[in-house]
Amino acid sequence: MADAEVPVAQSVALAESLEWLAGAVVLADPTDLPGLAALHTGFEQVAGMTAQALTRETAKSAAGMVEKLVLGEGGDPAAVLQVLGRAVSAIRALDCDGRGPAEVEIPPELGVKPPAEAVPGADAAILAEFLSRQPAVLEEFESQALEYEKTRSPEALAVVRRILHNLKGEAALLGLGEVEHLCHRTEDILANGLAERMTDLLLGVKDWLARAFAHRSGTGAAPEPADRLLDSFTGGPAATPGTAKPAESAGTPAAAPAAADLPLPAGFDVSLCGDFIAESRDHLDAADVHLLTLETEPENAEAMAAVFRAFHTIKGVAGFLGLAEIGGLAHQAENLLDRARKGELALAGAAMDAAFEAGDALRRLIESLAGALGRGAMPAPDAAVPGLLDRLRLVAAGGGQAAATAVAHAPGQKLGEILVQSGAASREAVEAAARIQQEPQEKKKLGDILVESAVLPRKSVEAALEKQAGDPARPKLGEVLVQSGAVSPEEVGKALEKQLEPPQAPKLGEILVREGQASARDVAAALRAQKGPAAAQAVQVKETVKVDADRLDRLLDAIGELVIAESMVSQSTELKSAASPQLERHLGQLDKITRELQEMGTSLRMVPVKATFQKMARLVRDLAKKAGKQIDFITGGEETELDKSVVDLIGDPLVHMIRNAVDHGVEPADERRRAGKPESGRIELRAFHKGGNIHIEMTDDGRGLQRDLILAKAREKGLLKSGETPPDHEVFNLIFLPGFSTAKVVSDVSGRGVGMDVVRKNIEALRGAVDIQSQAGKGTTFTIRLPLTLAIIDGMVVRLGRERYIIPTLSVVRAVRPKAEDVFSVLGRGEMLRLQGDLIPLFRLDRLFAAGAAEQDATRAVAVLVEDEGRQAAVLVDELLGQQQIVIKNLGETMKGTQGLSGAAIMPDGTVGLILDVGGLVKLANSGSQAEKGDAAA
Amino acid sequence: MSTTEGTAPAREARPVSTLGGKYLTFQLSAETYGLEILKVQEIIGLMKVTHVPRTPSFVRGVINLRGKVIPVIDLRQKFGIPSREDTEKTCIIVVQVLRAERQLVIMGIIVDEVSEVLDITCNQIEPAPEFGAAVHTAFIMGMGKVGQKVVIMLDIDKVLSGNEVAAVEHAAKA
Repeated sequence: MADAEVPVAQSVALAESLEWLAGAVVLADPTDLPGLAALHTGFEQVAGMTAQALTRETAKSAAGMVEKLVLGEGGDPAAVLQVLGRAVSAIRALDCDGRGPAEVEIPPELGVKPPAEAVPGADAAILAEFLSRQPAVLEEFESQALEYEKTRSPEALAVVRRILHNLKGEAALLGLGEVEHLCHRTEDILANGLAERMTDLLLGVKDWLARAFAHRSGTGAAPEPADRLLDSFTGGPAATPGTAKPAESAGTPAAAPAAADLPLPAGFDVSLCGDFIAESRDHLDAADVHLLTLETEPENAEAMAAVFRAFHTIKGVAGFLGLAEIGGLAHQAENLLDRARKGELALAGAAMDAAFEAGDALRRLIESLAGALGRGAMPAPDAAVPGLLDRLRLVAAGGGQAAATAVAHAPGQKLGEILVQSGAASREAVEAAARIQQEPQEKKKLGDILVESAVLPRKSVEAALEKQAGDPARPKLGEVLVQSGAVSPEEVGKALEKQLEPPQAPKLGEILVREGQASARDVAAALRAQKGPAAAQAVQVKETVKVDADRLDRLLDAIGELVIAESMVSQSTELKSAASPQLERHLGQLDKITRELQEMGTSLRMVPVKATFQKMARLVRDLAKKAGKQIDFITGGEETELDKSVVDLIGDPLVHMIRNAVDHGVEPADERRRAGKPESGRIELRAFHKGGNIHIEMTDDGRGLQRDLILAKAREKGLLKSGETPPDHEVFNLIFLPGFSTAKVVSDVSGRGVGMDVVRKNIEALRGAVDIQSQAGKGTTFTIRLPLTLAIIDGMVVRLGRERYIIPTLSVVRAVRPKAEDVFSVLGRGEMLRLQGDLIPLFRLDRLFAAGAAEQDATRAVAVLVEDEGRQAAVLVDELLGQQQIVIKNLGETMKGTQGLSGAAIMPDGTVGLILDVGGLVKLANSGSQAEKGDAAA
Repeated sequence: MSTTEGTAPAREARPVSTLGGKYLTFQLSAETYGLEILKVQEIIGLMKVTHVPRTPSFVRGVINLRGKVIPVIDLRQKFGIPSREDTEKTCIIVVQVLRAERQLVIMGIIVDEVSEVLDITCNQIEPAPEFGAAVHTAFIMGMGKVGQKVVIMLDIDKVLSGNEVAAVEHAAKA
């Protein structure tokens, strides 16, 4: 705790306060109440100023003692004042002199607990904060891993490695040993060449981390040991040679084999060593933090100095204690940092990695030292250290093979190097290309120049060449061309001038692309990397503030109330009659601000669908692999925003749709080849706005829905009569029925006929709709239509007796005034309405709801035709009052599940209106309770 | 306290010694009831209540409490006291009810008239009476004797939770 960070100004203020306090305590008169009050305030101020928990506690407790003194409690005033004096000196020692808690004697009378208790609390908070950040980090990780798989972009790989590295650092700080270890080994694997199954490895790592973090957050079981995961990729527990961290040193250092311990040298001071171990841990933690700072702010001189100091101190003490291994390593790291500090070396890429590794290795050495000392021995030399020392030397020397493993390419690095490192081209290919580049260039042909400068199409040049060859006089190409009128003499002249210019050496990238040694995309990516961090930094980091979801909801509630209150005021008749132009203007202004606030409020809950799409990308990849298919997954409109609750609920349906598309939609490669399609299938997922709704569209180019198969299955299940041939969309909609599957084989992915039922249920729960278009052999498109927000709907307000109800406009088909001859009674109970030849069940809301005083004569009432899940029904109400936008409110826990109602809304007059649940009503009517209620009401 | 009937929710009845404190008293018919002041959120005048169909008769309906929709219970109906026309003094006491699963629900109860806030000390409290199986007294915490008055101290959590709410839900699902 020696270097607690207190801003300078504050620490000066603190020192001054303490000085004053020290004087005041000495001069204090136990009977002088104002003086004691000032003393009390002084201690409280100190408690507020300090950053250290221990000091804070001490100061608070001292303030408490002064209070007791004022009240005449707490025993002998002189003794109390003495204790206070000691407290002041303790605080000074702790905060101003930077002494550790162990060195300072806090007066026991104060009853301050040792800091050991305060630290875990702080750690837990840090850990919680760390964990809360991880889902986003892992998402980015996965996204970049997939990006890398697709484009081989070194930037993506760099991001992946950066994330791993940061994670490692933070995990180390938080004592998440296994996470740290996993990140470290993964880094090693990445550094030692790019494995064939690299994406699998990275995705595996991501999943492992997700599980580990979930476990830490208290959900889910602990993941398998990290080594098992990694070993399945490296083919054995032994890490690749040259890595800094062999597997055996991975576990807790204390568990290192005792047999390898060396005896303690004579005269070795174990107690000094204990201090050194504790101090070094602090130094290394600090170094890691500052290195992380440097990673983002390479110019931060303070951080640089702090890192240097940490290694320097360790080196010094280790030398004094005769710990050669630790001293040597710290020395080498210090050298590296010294050069960086002097600006001779950029602490980035390989240098940065090496510095981090040195820190990690030192920590390991120190832990194994601690472990060995506990057994009364010295630890055996660490096998990895010599290799690391070499690398540090190399990096410090500014180059060599070690530097080539850099990920963050230093600006100005050679293109070839970048390509080799990122695995886009082999070193041989680059070298060959470089040789070609060195070769003297031949004079360019006139024809080529003309074609290149787009004066002529290649065809005419070829024609002219033929002509030239056929002509015994062997005229010059230029002449032939001018003769044939293809070009003007001036153009030929210009081309000839160009031909005389000294040829430019072709660019390396061009050669590689021409020779087919690297793809143009890789070269472009490498060129971007070559331009250096400037390009990467162009991405502006949006500043965000994390807000408790509860608070956000409360804010939105309050805004909702404001909107209602505002409309109640501005529409009040009293105000309207008394309105002056000025008042109206003000009301208009109020209205505008309220709307703006409402819009802003709604946008707060909006999140882009990107994260969800990302998950789908991963899913497609995994499923395709499992099914042995090649599938390109394309997303669009990822920035489209949806209400957070919608985004959360849309995931499941999408998963089912994607599974279906991969499993049933896209054909195996050979079948596709036979059908004349490209071998790799294509699934597109797009989101966009259309007509006030959000559309999410999933298209595959597979075999399409098999109409005949669906029809046959429907007939088999008795859903259709054998003669019926409904239109396409009705046939396709059959697949949404529960238990409906045409799959011959139930795979572990799909085929049970549950998925599509889930799709429709979830989407309808979001008040959306799903639509299918499919063409046999061409593919299928699912379109999900979702409302922009869940909170607002269009509603038709109807009157029934004295009550008003709201019917969602979406489910209203039309409204008619029934004619007497169109209403039929069935069995004296149910009623039917004949509408253009169709017979539709008619039910009376007043009877369903047992609400009296409604119009009983159907010809004087209004029948509202509603539709739910394809079934139509007519609801008899007294009057249509109009249509309006309704903010949906929950009916509350107690009323939840009231059948026939889906929610409540605040009407413009401030009362509550009830929203009818059309589906529920239809079910209610069909369940026969209509008859019962009808009887009861009659 | 030995009056807890099996029908009450699992929560234990509170010993009389913990019941002292401030109580909001109100009238229902000729009886005086008391509510722990900490359970009361506010008192509002009677406003138009929207009737919710297919709910038990003691549920008067829902109201808009500053943008929140809350249910309103007619306490006369609930206690089986014959109902009467609302008067000027009829009002809604908004209470916070702790339901099963430790869920805090806001509800309104309609009472004839709000009287005053009384400080009732432990020694003024007698355990709830027992009238035999015919009268359900589980939601009475105790009887407070303040001056000439006898205050029936309600355990509002038990009045408005558990069985009753379940009944609402049951009616809804039937």
